[in-house]
Amino acid sequence: MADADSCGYAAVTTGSFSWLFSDSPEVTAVAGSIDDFAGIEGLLLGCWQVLPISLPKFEKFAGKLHRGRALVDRARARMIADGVVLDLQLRILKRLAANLNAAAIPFVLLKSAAMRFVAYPDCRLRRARDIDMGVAAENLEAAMRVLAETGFQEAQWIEDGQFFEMAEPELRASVESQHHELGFWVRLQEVRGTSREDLEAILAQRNERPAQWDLTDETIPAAYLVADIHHGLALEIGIEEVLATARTIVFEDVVLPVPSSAWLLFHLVYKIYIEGVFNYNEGAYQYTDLCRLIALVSEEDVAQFTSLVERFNLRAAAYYVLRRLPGHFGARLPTELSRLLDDWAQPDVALAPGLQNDWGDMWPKLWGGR
Amino acid sequence: MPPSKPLLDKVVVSSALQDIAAVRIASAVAGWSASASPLPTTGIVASGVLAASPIPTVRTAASPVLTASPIPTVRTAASPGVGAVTVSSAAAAAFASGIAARLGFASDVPTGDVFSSLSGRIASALAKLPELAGLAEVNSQLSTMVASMLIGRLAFQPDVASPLGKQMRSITVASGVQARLERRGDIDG
Repeated sequence: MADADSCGYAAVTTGSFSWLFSDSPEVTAVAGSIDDFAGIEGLLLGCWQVLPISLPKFEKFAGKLHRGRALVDRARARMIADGVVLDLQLRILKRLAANLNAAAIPFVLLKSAAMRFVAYPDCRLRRARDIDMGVAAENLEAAMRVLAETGFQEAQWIEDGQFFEMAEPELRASVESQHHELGFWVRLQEVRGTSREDLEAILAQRNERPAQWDLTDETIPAAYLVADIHHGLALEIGIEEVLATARTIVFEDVVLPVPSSAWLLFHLVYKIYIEGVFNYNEGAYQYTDLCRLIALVSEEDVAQFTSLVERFNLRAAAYYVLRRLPGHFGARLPTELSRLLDDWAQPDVALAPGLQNDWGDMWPKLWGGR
Repeated sequence: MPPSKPLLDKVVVSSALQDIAAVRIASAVAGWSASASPLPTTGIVASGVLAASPIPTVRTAASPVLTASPIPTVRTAASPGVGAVTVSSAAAAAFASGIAARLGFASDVPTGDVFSSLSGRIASALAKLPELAGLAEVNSQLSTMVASMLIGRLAFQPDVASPLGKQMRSITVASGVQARLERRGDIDG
């Protein structure tokens, strides 16, 4: 059974299971010990967003063990159920994009919503809870109208009960007034006529967290489709430049704007570092994105990425995040980036660490250590 | 209960009621003066209050950004607001009786498992208000809210700083009354 404790990876030796997220299908020589088994359960299920990548590898590693088999079955149910959610997300994304275009509202996909199209051979390999989009602040009101017209409602998440409910407007306003994104917009989508296998998986994973399903109706499951609208990447990093430099991809005849590779890489490095350094067991799965994205960047992308790192004072973040790629994930860094890491490894000792956004290495925290 | 002060200073109704008509309805039902929300996004805020749900956990996503400041966050924990204490049964009864009287109920308000029945009775009473004509959803929301108060599931929050920085007094219904999301059948609809 899933519970809060099982979401921790504390028993996993720091980084010993990073191979689960690499771009290689192999279980590498640095595979973690079976002694870490108690922790890998939390790691595997805590990183549910990339189970299509990690689960086949885990099966090779421990799938024949009794405990491994049970965990594989549990993870597979989660993966299948999340796949149903993803199919719904992709369908509603096409509608949402069409409606935003019809309203002449420029937008750009962000985070996993963009990453799955850019960095993966099949967008269904990358799951997520939210459909993240960037919209300029002056277009937020219009975007909210489009969301409402597309069947989304302003919602708030109840952690204890693992469900969304209608948002309290005052509370929502108090959050939005300080934030770089809107509160949740959620469409509760019923799933009818799904296959027996899918339905069984949806029911089997009902105790996993975070819940993606409302199963209060005994017969018809409903998925939470969540739209997350950002008017900045952070409080100090606006969305305008990301919008202005966006490129497009085509998904099933629908043209979708995604950030430039430089912005995508910058945002990912920023998230891995900031989320990682201020939490435990948070965001290791994002290395799955990074391993794949880094193989696609050009020299020009690296130059633009470097410019962003310098401009936003994130040398320490880039250093801590990127240096793990070759050793732990077998990913090759572009030559210029390797050279820059040598530079970024050296702090400006005349400035306090906090002034350089240097909160130390996030790596052990990703795995639940110090 | 502090009889020397208004029982409530402010009322917040759920986002489903984002229409000025809802303010008028709340006023008509509870006898409070109404005003539009001064908050940056929508919200119906009338004078006097009952938030229809516990203050929830609000998602924080990415954030602290380039400073050491914490992610913008609103208090989380389950249950009513920070420092909330349960209102005395006498105060709850007094408050409920006041509303009950306005709705034409007898003072011996039903409690406990008659919630749904009570909610239905209130909905019927509200339907007679001209302000509610054609606003079935508003009626439903409001009747649920008022019924919750009447059965005494109240928590009283003493003076706390509001998000706007002013002191306010509010009541939070303890549980189970916040509107659920609407289920959508056809994904193309």
